[in-house]
Amino acid sequence: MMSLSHIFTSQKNKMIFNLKRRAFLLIVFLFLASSVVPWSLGAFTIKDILVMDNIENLRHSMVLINKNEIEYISITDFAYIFDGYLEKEDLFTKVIFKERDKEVTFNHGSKEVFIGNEKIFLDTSCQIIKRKSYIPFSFIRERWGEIINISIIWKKEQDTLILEKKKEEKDKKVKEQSLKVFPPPYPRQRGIEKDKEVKEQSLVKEERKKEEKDKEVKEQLLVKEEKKKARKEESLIKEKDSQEKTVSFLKKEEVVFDKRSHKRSNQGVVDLITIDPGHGGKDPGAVGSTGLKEKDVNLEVAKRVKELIETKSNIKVMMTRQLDEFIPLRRRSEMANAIKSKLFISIHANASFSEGADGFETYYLSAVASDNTARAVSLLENGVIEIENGAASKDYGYLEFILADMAQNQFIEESIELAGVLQEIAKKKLNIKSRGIKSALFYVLKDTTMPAILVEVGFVSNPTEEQRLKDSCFKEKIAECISEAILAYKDKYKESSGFTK
Amino acid sequence: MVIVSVSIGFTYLYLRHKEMPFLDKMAISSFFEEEEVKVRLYFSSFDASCLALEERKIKKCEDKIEQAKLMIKELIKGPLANNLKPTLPLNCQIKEVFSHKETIFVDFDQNFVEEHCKGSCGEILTIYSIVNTLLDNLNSYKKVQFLVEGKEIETLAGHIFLQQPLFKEKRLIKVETKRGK
Repeated sequence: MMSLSHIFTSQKNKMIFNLKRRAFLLIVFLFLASSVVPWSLGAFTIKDILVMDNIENLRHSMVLINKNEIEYISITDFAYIFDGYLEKEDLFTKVIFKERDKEVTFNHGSKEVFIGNEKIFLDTSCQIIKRKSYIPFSFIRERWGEIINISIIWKKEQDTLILEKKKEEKDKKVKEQSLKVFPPPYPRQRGIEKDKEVKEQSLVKEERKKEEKDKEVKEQLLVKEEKKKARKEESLIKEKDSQEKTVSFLKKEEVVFDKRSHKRSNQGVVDLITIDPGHGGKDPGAVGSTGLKEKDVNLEVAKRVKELIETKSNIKVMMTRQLDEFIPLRRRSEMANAIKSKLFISIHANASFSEGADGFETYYLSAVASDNTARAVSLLENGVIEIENGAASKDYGYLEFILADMAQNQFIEESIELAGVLQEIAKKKLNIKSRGIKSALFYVLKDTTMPAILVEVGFVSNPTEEQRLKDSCFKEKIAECISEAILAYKDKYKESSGFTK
Repeated sequence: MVIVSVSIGFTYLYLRHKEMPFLDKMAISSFFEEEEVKVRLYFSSFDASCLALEERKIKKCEDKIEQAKLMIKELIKGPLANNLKPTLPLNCQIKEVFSHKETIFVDFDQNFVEEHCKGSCGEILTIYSIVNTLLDNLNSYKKVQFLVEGKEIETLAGHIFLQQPLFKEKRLIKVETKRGK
C-alpha cells in the first residue's frame, strides 16, 4: 500500500514538475519574444552614401537610414558636413553654423524646425533611432540648399550628394583638372582655407608661366594664329569621334582602335618631335647615393639627342625644358600637343629600393578603361606588362582598348613600335642589361596625341650604374641610341606610306 | 529547475546577442584568444623586375579595414626572405584606411612621398605591391585609391597617374626570371 501511494505521489510530482517547467519555459519565451517584437517594428535599413563637397573640395562618406520608406540622416552628420556644432536642450537639438551665421533647431518627434527665429515645417518629423537623433533627408535635399545659398544635388543612382556653389559664383572660379572618374571621401581637415589660398596663388602663377611659354613656342616655331584655331577644331572633332567610339564591354560594341583613321591629325612625315627631359627645378627626380640627380642626367641626354637629330636630319626638336626648371606634368604633354609634334619622348633615369636593380627599359602607355566601362574588372589590364621582343611582337590580344577618352590610345601601336626599335638599339650598343618594353599608366604620356614613349636610361640607385651615368661618354652613347631609334622609326614610317604592320 | 530554465534563457539571449550586428561584440570576443590569419604580401623581387609573394601570419581582425592597415604595416616592415626587397620607405606611415563600395582608400603620410626612392621602377612596385596585396587578400574590394595627407596626389614620384583608383595587376606577379643582356 505504501509503495502504491508512493508511486502515485511521485507521478503527481512528475506532472507538477513538467507543468512548472513548461510554465517557466513559456515565461522565458514570452520574455524573449517581447524583446524581439518592438525591435522588428522599428526596422530600418542602412545605406552608405557619398557627399561630394565641391566648394571646399572635400568628400565624406555617411550613413542614410531608411525607416518606413522615409530617408533620414543623423544630426551629427548634418552638422559635420556643413561645419556646424550641436547644442542639446531636452528634446531640442540646436545646430549652430557659425560661419554661415545660421542656427537650426530641431524638435524630436515633431515636424517643426526653427531656422533662427523663423519656423518651418518638415515633411516628416525628426526621429530618435537607437538613441541617435535623425532628421529627414528630404530637408537636406530640398530645403537646406536655399537656406544657405548653395546648390545641393542628389544623384540617386550613384548614391551621391553634390554640394556646389550657385551658378554665378562657379563661373568665376579657375578650373583645375577636375576629378570625374571617382571621387574619394577622406577625413575633413581644419585649416583648409589656407590651402585653398595657396592653391589659387600657384594656379595664377602657373597661368602666367603658361602664357609666357606659349609666346616662346610660337616665336620659336612661327606658328600662325589661324592654323592653331583650325587645329583646335580638328582635335575637338576628333575627341567627339573618339568618345562616340567608346566601347562598353558589356554591350559588345565595335572596337575603338582604328589605327588607320583618316581623321588622325598625326599624319605625314616625322618632321617635328618633342623631347621631354623628366623632372627639373624643385623636383630632382631620383637621387643616387653619391648625389647624382636624375634631372641632370635627363637634361644632358636630351640636349645631346636634340643636337644629334638636328644635325643628322631636318627634323625639328622642341624640348619641354632647356634649363633646370620645374614643369608640371600635364604642361609637358600640352606643349607637345600644341605644336602638333609627331613624336613624344620623355627621358628619365630609374631608381628602386633594391640596389641590385639595373638596366635600360622603355615604356609606352597602358590602355586603361574608364570607371564606367570597366565593370568586367578581370579583363581590365592596367599597369606593367612586358613584351619579350617589342618590335616583333605585335600581338595585342591581351590588351583591350576599351576606353577612348585617353588620346594616347590611338597611337599605342606606333608607340610600341618606337619603343621596340629603341630597346633593340640600346641592347646592342650600350652594353647594358635590357629590362624590356613595358607599359604603365604614366601621367606624362596619357594626354599626348602622338606616339609617345618614356625611356629609363639606367638606375641611379645602383652604385655601378650611377657612376656610368655620371660619365659624359656613356650619356653620349645613350643619346646616340635614342636619336638613331627616332631616325630609324622615321624611315620606317616613310617607306610604308601610312603606317602598316 | 528555475536555474535550468533561467540559464537556458540566458544562453538563448547570448546566441541572439551574437546575431545582432550593432550591439557591442568586443566584450564577448575578448574571451577568446587572439586569432591569426595567413596573408599574402607582395614585395619586390631582387632585381625589381616584378612582385614576389611572401606569406605571413598576422593578427586576425574582424574589421577588414583594420586588417588592411595591418597588412600595409607589414609591407612597410619589409620582407623576411633575403632574396626579396621592400617596396615602401621604412619610416612612412599609413594614416587612414577606409572604403566606399568596391574601393579601398589608403591615406599615407608625407613621408610616403618624401622618403620614396623615386624612379619609375620603384614607383610601380610601391604602388602595385600595395594594390595587389590589398585586393588579393580582401576579395570584396576591386580598386585602390591612393591619398597622401588626406588629399589626392597626381603621382607618387612623377610617373604613375594616381587620380584614379587602380585595379589589381596580375602580370607583375610572376616567377622571377633572369633577363639576359
